[in-house]
Amino acid sequence: MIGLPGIRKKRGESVQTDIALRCTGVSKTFDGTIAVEEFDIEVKRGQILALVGPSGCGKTTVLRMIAGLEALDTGRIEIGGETVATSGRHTGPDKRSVGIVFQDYALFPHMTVSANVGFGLDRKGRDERVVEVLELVGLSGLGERLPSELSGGQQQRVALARTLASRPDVLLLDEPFSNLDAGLRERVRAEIREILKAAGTTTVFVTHDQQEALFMGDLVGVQVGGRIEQVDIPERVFHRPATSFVARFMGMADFLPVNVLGPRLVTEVGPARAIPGFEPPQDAPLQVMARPDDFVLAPSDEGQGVVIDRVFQGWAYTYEVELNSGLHIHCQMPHLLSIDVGQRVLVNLRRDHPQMFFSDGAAVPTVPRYGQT
Amino acid sequence: MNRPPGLQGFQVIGEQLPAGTGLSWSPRRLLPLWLRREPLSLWLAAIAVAGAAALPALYLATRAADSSDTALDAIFDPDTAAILWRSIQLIVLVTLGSVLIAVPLAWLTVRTDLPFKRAWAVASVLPLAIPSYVGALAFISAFGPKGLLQGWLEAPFGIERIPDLYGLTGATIVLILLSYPYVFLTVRATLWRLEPEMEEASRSLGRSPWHTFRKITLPLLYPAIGAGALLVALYTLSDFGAVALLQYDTFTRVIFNEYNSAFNRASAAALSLVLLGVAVSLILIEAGARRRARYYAGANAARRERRIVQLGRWRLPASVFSGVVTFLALGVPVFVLVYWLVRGINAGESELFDFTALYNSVQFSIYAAVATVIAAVPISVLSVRRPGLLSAGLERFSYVGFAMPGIAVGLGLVFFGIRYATAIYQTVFLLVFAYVVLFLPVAVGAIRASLLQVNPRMEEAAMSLGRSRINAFLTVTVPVIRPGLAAAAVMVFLLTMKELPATLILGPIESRTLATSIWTAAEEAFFARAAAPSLLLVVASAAPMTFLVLRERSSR
Repeated sequence: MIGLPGIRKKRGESVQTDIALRCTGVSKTFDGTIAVEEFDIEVKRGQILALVGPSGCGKTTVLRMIAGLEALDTGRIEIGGETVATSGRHTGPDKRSVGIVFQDYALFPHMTVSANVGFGLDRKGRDERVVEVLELVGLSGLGERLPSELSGGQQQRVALARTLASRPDVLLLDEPFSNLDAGLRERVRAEIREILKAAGTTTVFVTHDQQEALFMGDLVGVQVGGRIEQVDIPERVFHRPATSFVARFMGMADFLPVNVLGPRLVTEVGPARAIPGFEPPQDAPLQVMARPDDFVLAPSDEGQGVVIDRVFQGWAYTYEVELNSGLHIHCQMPHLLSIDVGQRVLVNLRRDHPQMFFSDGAAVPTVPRYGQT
Repeated sequence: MNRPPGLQGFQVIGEQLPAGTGLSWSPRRLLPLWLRREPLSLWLAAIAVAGAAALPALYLATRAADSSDTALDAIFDPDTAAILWRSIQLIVLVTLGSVLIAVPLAWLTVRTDLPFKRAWAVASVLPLAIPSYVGALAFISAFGPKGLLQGWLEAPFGIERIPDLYGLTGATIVLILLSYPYVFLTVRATLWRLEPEMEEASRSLGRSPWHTFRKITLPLLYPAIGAGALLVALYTLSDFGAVALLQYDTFTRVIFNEYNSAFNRASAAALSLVLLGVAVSLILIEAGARRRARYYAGANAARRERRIVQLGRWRLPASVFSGVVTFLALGVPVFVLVYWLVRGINAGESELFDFTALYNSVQFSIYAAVATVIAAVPISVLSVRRPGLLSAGLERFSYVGFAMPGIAVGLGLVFFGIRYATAIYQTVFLLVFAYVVLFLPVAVGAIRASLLQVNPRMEEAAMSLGRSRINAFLTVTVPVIRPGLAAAAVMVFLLTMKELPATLILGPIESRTLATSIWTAAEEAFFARAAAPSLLLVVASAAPMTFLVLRERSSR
């Protein structure tokens, strides 16, 4: 990319490496509160990493440290193979090849769209690059507008264009869709993913919305309490959570106690199925994870549970069932079958796929926190 | 209408039904729908207040038109052009100087690790508590011919003359030091509100801190600087005390002399109209500039503590800068006043403190505060709840006092009083009327701001629970906006205590106020007699101001 018009030459062009961004043992404390602790991550060129976690888990702080807007306490951040931050050294945000798109866009209200997009570019070749990037984000012809004359979705794309214009090695997006209404959000995030993939930009993207993370990320990192719980491709994070926190956070999950009877794994709703060669832990309580679609319900007076709530979702009903043991589980059934509240039901676990087992909050057998990527 | 009291709230809906649906006919049906939606009495009250506010300007025009030859002569007199030129010079210099002092001070006290920055912030606002005639008096006493400074220099160094303070130089310096807080306050408020993301975005796009300040921060501050500069310009234009004491002939001083000494009322009226014209031009210029800069700094306050700029080796120069400004604007006046007070006490001076003047000042100011707040409520309510052409127009009218210097309001009411209201001429009524016109914008501003915080649904909820409209307003809205009403009353009270030109012209004969007795003492260079009432005015105004600045912090 060196030598293309309009590219601001950042200090020390990137060393050739496959890894665009690497954080090692990064920690940050604010006034005695730990915001980020021992944070490790590796993102390859062109990959999109979605960092997801409940609010206050430190994900925005991670972004700000990568951008250079916040100094880290310990650890190391490398961008394109070059160290930009360690505990003693801090490269300023203007000296890093990192672009950040803020939650509320932070467009400069006193500049036109073109001036916003060209803000980080050198004069030489600026106009051409602005036109090119505006076209990439689908805003050709709006260059002379002021940000206040654009819709929320358009403002979002201007913010993205402004950041992409100087071809950063790493692009950071902070809750980029949270200011858009629900209908617009799904369309915009598909568009943005396409733009990012077309530009081939390495991206770290922060959200609190699991659906968004699963959709946007080539990799999904689940963060809690300042630490990474698991990083892997979306499917594995969802289906093979490393911890019960990840399981619960990524989607509704119930945990049922398991009795190990020789080779058989018995729960209150019948036998559970494990992967071949499964070895239950010795002397530790074992639980099986079940998502709402892992259950099968049938009305029956002999059943081991009672429907206590029913939520209609259009294509399906989600039932809350109280088992004889007092445990509550959530089951999703097609809308064709409608069971009344108060009805006794027979509950079974689907047998068509092996289930995940947990002991002490960790998956059994252990799932690596850092997946093969 | 025989409706149960609980249904009074639905009057609004009933009135909108087509004729013949069973409701009795009422004259209100002749009014357009939007006018009917609020009780007629509220509209009438607002219109009356707006009309009253326009009265002084109207009578200035009438008086000038009555003797149009003299008036036209006065307007096209080369002397008038000279006065205009002097006024403009003063306005430009004071405004520029204020901006140059206020913007760095605001930035230093918000964004940097300047030591004691909260103390500096308070100290930078307090000059507003010093009436201009008190500030001028202090500077004359300190730096004037035969002043304190010259006295101190004479003994050891034999210096008998120091640069002359009178005229443009002195007026510029004194007015800058007294009015830069207007720019300081508006810029500071905007600096707090600016989203740090703007600057962070610029930095992450590869721009240096200096480039970021010049291209992002400063342009975003322009509207605030403009608004503050307008206040400074209007303050300078309408100032009477400082220019009069420092003998610089701007409009206010010439008008006062024409009226007071030359008894040339037609030309005083004509010059007042020119003065009003200049004030309106200033407002239009600022409005035009603001329209071009249509953007606004993000309304949502900064959510995160912003990064504090480390001053490093600039800490000392920055501290010295803040110190010099505070010393000149606050230290000198307070020192001089205390010096004269102590000297007066030591010399056994009688009449050091004039309790009659204090009593009159407090009395007039309480009347003014109560009357202004009551007058401001209808306009504020309508402009917030019924935004539209008429309410916007009424609100505009209430801003007359903003553009109209005290001397012009005073003169306008003198003409009105002599011709149509001799019964109240030179009584406290007409004086309070002038205060209401002058300070109505302040009260409307404060009440409007607090009304905007009140969800109108609350009143509707009260009405749907059976309260009448007026009852709902009194029991639900008024308690919520009480802080706004109180703030409005306090501000009007303080402004009235300090007001000089209108009080001089309209004040009942033989009833001195603090302001007029300071003025008399200052004119006669009777510094010791002016010291105690001046200090009282300064302290009384400084206390609530300190409170406001400190609260600015805690509300975040």
